[in-house]
Amino acid sequence: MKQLFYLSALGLAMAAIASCDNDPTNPGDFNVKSELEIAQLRSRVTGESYPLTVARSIDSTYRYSYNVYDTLKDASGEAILDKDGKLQITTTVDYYFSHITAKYVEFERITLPSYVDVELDTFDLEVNSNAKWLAPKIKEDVNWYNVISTTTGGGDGTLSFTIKQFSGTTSKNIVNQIMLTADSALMYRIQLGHTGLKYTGE
Amino acid sequence: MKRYIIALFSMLAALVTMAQVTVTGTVYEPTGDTAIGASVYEKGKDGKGVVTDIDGNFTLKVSSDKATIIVSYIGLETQEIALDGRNHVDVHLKEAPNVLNEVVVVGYGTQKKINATGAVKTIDNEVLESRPISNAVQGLQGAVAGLNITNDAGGAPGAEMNINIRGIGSIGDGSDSNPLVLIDGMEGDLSTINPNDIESISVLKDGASAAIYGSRAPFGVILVTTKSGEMGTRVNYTGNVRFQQPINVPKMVDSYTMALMVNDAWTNAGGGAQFGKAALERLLAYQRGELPYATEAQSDLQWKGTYASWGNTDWYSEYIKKVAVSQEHNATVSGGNQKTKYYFSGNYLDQAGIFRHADEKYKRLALSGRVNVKFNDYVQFTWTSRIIATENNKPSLLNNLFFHNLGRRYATEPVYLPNGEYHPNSLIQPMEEGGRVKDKTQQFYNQANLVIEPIKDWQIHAELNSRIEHNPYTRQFNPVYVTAPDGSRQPISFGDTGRHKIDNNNGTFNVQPELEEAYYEKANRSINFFSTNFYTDYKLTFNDKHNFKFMVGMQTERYHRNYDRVASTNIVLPDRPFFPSEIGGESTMISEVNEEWSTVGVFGRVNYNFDDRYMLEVNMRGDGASRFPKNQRWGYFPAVSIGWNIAQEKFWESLTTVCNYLKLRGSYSELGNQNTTSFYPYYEKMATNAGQVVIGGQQVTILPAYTPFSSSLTWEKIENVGAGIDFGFLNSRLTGAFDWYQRTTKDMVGPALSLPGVFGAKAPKTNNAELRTRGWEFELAWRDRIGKDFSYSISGSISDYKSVVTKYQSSDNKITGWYQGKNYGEIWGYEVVGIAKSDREMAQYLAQHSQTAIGSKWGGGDLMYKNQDNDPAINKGAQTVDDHGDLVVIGNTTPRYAYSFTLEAKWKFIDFRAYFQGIGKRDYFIGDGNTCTATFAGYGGRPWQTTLFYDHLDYFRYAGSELGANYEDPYFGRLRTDGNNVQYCDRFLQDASYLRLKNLTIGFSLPETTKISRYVQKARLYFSAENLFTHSKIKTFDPEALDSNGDWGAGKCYPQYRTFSIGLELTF
Repeated sequence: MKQLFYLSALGLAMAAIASCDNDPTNPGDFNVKSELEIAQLRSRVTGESYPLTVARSIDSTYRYSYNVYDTLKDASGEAILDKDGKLQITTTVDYYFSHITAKYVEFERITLPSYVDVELDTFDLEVNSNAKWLAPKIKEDVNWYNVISTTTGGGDGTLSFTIKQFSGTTSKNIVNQIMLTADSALMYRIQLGHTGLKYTGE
Repeated sequence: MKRYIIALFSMLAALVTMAQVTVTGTVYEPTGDTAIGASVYEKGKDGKGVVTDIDGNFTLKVSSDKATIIVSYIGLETQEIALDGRNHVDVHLKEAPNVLNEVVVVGYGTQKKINATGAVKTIDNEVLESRPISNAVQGLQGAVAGLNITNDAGGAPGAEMNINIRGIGSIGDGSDSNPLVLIDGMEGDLSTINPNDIESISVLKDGASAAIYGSRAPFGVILVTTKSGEMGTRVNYTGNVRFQQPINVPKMVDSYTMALMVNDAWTNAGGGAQFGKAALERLLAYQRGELPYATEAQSDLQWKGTYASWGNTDWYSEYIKKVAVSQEHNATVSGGNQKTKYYFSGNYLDQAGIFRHADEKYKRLALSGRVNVKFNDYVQFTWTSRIIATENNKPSLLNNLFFHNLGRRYATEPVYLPNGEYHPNSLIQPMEEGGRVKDKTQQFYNQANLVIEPIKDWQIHAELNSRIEHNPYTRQFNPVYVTAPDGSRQPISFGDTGRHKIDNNNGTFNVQPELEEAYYEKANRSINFFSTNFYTDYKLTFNDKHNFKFMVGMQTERYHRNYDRVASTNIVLPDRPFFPSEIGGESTMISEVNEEWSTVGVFGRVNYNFDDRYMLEVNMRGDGASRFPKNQRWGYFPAVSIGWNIAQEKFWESLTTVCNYLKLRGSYSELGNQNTTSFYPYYEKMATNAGQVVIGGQQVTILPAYTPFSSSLTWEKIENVGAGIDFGFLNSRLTGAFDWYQRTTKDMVGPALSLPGVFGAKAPKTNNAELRTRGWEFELAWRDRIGKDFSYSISGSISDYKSVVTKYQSSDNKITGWYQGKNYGEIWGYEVVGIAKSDREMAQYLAQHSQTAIGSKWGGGDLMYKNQDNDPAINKGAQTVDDHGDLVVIGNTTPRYAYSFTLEAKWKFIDFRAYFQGIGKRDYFIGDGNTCTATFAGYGGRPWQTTLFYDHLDYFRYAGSELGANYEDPYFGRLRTDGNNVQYCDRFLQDASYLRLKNLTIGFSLPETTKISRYVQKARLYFSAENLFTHSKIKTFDPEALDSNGDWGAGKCYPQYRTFSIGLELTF
């Protein structure tokens, strides 16, 4: 009988051990923070690099919102129908704070010149990053500035744009190009000005 | 008077008593211990013996003191002892040199293993005993080197496995290279026979040993010998209860994680996120239990699902049970005496499936009976009948499409609607109520075997074999409905667009019901097989050294099968389906297949051995097969094999104590293959078809002209060459064998070279292709005993083969087809340089090697494919042998180095067996021919091919991702809805090799000294487990649940499972 008992226990142990399967896990590292560095701004035509000097830097936390749609209901939870017998949709806005501490960096304005023999100068804004980043379309209506590369990227990349030759002295329009990581943890504002052929430096 | 009679009777009684002598004695084992339960009987009186008691003593009444007694004991050599006037004898038994006495079953007879010159392996039923298996094929996996049994299609109840001996034999168009399976000499189905009825299995691996079966057996033979009755009556019961647990079931990600992955896949391909912030918040709220329902009305007629619902369902957990319970019972009654022996058995298997909502059942009932009558010393007759009935009952929805859709179902789909009904996208209602498939098999075998021995050593055999088989089959699709938000009843789709097609090759219907369609299909297949074997053999010995055995015979076979199949969508009562009476109904499908083949064979064999040292065997067979044109119908197939028993030589005598058995052998044979898929390969069919012309609003039926064919089409020929060595050391405690072989299949049917377009048709196929297979096998076994109580054995085998196409006239030399020089199982794909860590790295790479031919919008996180040629673009070229672009051979899917090893031990009344089986090397690509399947990579090249498991989380992600950064060393590139990162490539080539603890059995036998043993001859309780542990590096799936032939790509089939069982064995 003792042998039978041991045999049964061995059989149950065998079943219990074999039943365990290892579940796969997410290898994602949540401790790695997004990084984005504007490395340099360089002209393809002249090869000149323009310094990027930080004007100010602010830390903040984002607040997000989203619309919540529901149907109009009475106190007992029953839907209140309109005169046509249809459900009435209500919209409310919910807000919540992000868990991310965001950094906002502004650079001092960079003024880009015009050259007599260069109708279109191309510039490369090189970024070093370990994150997805965006360079949204600028809000201003500026005709001398045109982005020619993709406005989204991942990791190290380049935002390329062209500058049209300006015949006047100084353009009134200023470009505010934003670049930010996809999780909005880092945001840069690059301000660009443009001088024309008649610009004398005063 | 009365006194005289009494005196007469007393004298007679005294005489009788005096004539019987009482003999006593003790039987000892080789270890010196007494042998308990040894059998002792007078020679010629088998049924009237005794067994030794606990002290090894016996008392036996014999006819006289000059009688001879026989003492036998399991595992030891039987001894005959002449009493010579003694009435007390002590018997010391010796170890049986089992190799020298071992018998192997060969074609039309048996041979002593030491005299066998072919590659033959015989195993007994131990490999099948006490195992919770559904059929014998499962149990044989890994049991014999060179017998390759593979299972790619998971563990569906009633599923068939692939069998080949020494690799693939033919790639000829319409050819079949399965081995011939003979059950007691008649072709049978190894997957349905009751495994408990099997006595032994012999595998004839090479052409020489299979040659006697001619053109039915060019790729080997599996001979199954079933049990017969023995002396003394026995009643045996074995039964077990099994608990099946699915293994390697993928784990789907939760709904929130899935939504983030879907967003990534869409944005990485340049699209927009599918789940906005509100949707994501709602998913989390539902997961936290804050929302009662996971869906709401999308419109009056539809509920929200897929992207719009917010459930959290792991569909594999929802559909697959944790445990399914099955049972098997087997009872036999056997017995007999010197004149008559009988064996009757009954077996019942009830196997449940592991899918919830499906109520799958596979049942088998097998009854068999065998009676052997020995009329006299010259004539004996055996009759065997076997009835096997199986039924596979499952939902019509449980097909490959279901497995394809199971993984594609979003985790956001809820199981239930707010009204309590199942969500229509869950497909649970179609599974439960959408109709069933009932596939039955009824096989009735009858065999009559007459053996006449007119004089000693001359036997005449006459066998009549019959197999009648019926396969009633029904399939039904019932419309199912869900209550829509507005309260109306809306039909539920079964997961794909409707289609109704007939496969003209076999008459089956490929059907997916339209919405709301009631479909009923009924089919019956009947098979009638009849064969006769007449053969005679004669043994002749000269001078005690020259031993001949001659055998000649003839065989006939006739096989007829008929399929009738009818289906209709005009079903009035789905609960009680019947076909409508209608004329010219549009909703009816009908097909019939009616075909037959027959063969006639004459064969002869001569065996010669000189003094058990030098052996020669010559086989010759002539076959006529109905499958070939009249002028090609006959083929003649010779085979020769030789052997040399070195250990029997005089010069070896001094080494016998170390090496008691050493035999070299070699063989050569030429066999023909008549196993074409079609029974009429030299006919071309004109099959009716729906034409592209519409007359009167209906598509007309057309009869296209047949394809031209060659009238010189003839047999495939298989040439086998092999050599082997068998050995036994230390009185056969260590035994083994090594074989090397080469098999060349010539004259396979292949395509002819293209003809000019004016010919107006494809060039006819001819016998112009060749395939060569080379391989080897190695087996080793050690058996020993320590003391009286402990015995053990360790055995193992390993085998390997490679096949290459040595001749093929491909018209286009596509690497996706066959071509000269192609290794069987080749996988072509790209090589991957790595994953670009950033857009800049990818841009720099693309500047050198354009990847526009295989994708667009490449960036960081995507794969960089290696450029193999001078063309700067990465592409597939023309996918031909001469222009394959940047594709290279990245692997081979042939299972290599198939191995197994067994550890067995017995100590007193406890027995233990561990059986490991595995494949040493196998490459596998989980794809659909173009890209990875979604089940492997998460996305399969198209947005709707989405299957997201936790395994898929190891994809490239930048820092800041909501799923965490993963850019140092991810396995997958970025998830994308397009085909950029899912090409066939070496990076995703899977290592499908595995090691599996195939069976572990621990048994406890009732000791013979207990009181119960008076009533029960043997009682054994055992625990057994199948597929207990598996070690494999393949991602996500079980290495035997990949379904390489699936309609929807690999990785979408029934899961594999492990089984635990408790069993009881009783013998009365």
